[in-house]
Amino acid sequence: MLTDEQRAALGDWVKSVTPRALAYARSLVRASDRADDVVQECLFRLLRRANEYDLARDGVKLLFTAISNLCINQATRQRELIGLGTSVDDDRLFDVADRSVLQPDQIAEHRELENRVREALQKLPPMQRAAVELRALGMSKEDIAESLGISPTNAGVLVYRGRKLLAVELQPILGKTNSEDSA
Amino acid sequence: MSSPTDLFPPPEPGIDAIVRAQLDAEAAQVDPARIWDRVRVQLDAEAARPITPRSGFRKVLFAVGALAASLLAAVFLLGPSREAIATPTQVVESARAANGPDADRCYTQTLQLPPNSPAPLALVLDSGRTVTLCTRGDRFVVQPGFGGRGACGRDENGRVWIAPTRDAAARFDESELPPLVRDAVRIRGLELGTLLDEVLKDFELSWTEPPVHNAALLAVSAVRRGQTGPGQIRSADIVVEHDTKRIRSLVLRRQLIVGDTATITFRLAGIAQFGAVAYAAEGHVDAGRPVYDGARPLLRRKVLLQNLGDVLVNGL
Repeated sequence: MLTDEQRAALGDWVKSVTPRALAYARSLVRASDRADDVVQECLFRLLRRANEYDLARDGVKLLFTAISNLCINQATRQRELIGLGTSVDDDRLFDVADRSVLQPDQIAEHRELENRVREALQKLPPMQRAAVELRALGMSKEDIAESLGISPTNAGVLVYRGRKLLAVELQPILGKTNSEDSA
Repeated sequence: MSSPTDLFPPPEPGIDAIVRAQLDAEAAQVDPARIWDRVRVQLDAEAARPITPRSGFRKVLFAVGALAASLLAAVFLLGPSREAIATPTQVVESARAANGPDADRCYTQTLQLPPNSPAPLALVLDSGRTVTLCTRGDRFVVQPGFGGRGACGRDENGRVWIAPTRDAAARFDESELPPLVRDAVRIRGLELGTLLDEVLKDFELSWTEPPVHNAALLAVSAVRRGQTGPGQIRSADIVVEHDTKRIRSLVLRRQLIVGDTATITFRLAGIAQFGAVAYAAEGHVDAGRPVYDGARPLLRRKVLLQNLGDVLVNGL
């Protein structure tokens, strides 16, 4: 059994990471109850051995790695990585695709855009979607690579391609917003 | 522990910021306490599970065990007396009296269905899965619920509810239960008060193992007198903690309505303190989401059919 102190500390950490972990899992598996089960199982596996980890330092990465592993099957990983070369300039992969957009808090309030973003993300292949979302959650290229079980170069390629596809998908709305801004 | 901002650094502006806003909007709808409650119960259950010795220690443990067994045998055979602490009936009565509405007890539950049990029943029960059941008095909640989804339980008014997702739940009076669900609830559920009353009234009780002086655990076997009817419990093994009178473990052998006997095993995972809402359907759907009862039978049926699909169609 956990002591009350350990339980409280773990509880605080779980409550901090769970909302975004669930959002990530739901994006990957779509069915919300299945995503809940995945996150619950990953948290349980992680916390049962909490004494072996530095949760504050590595917990998020370990949790998202476990979620990625459960949500994206091996066949999908291999298929998507076929043809990904190392010729792309790594430093360019994380360049910002388009800086002339609304601020996140404004965007989140915009229901139509929210739906469009959700739909656009769902059009990405799972590995690209995972890579883009992990990047958006603040992970480095190395951390994304570790979470998805691929090389940092491939992680960069996935993020780059994912962003590019999203920019195309969202162009109608982003373009309209930009023109409204400039008007 | 770090704050959420430390754990998730801000994104770069542009596409990343848009994606982050989308994820954060989704995250804002999540109640993390619900997941934490479920994980906490799992952790407690894990902590209560017996530890399997590693192979390297097995010989040593075997030798120690053999020595301990010899000593116990010597005490048993040569000691001045082997005092029986109480009768089996008194042990079950004390467990019944201790089953008050003061604390929630959580058990891990495993289920062994006979090979000839109906396939829909096995699917609804998700029979291979170990679930967690928490109980207070005759109320209980099981997670995951039927079909391995959501939760199900019995509330303080004796109504059975099923919440396959956080979006909607179905609630039934006992008389309204579809036959398949009635069987599934009977097998998965645990109404300790009612069960112990029945055991005291209709079962022959004996020691599973004769208790020794100062025994921490008291094991009682219960066998139904006379014929076992369909759906009834045929026999039970009840292990009670001497000091607290809590039921440490319980093995029920229940005669199925169709098929042979199912074996249901409960092991105490921990003691908790939940609010009353943990045992009600409302505690397992998001705020404002509906719980359909007999007043909305079609919507209630729809909740079940949408979420448990073909499995339930065959049983309803």
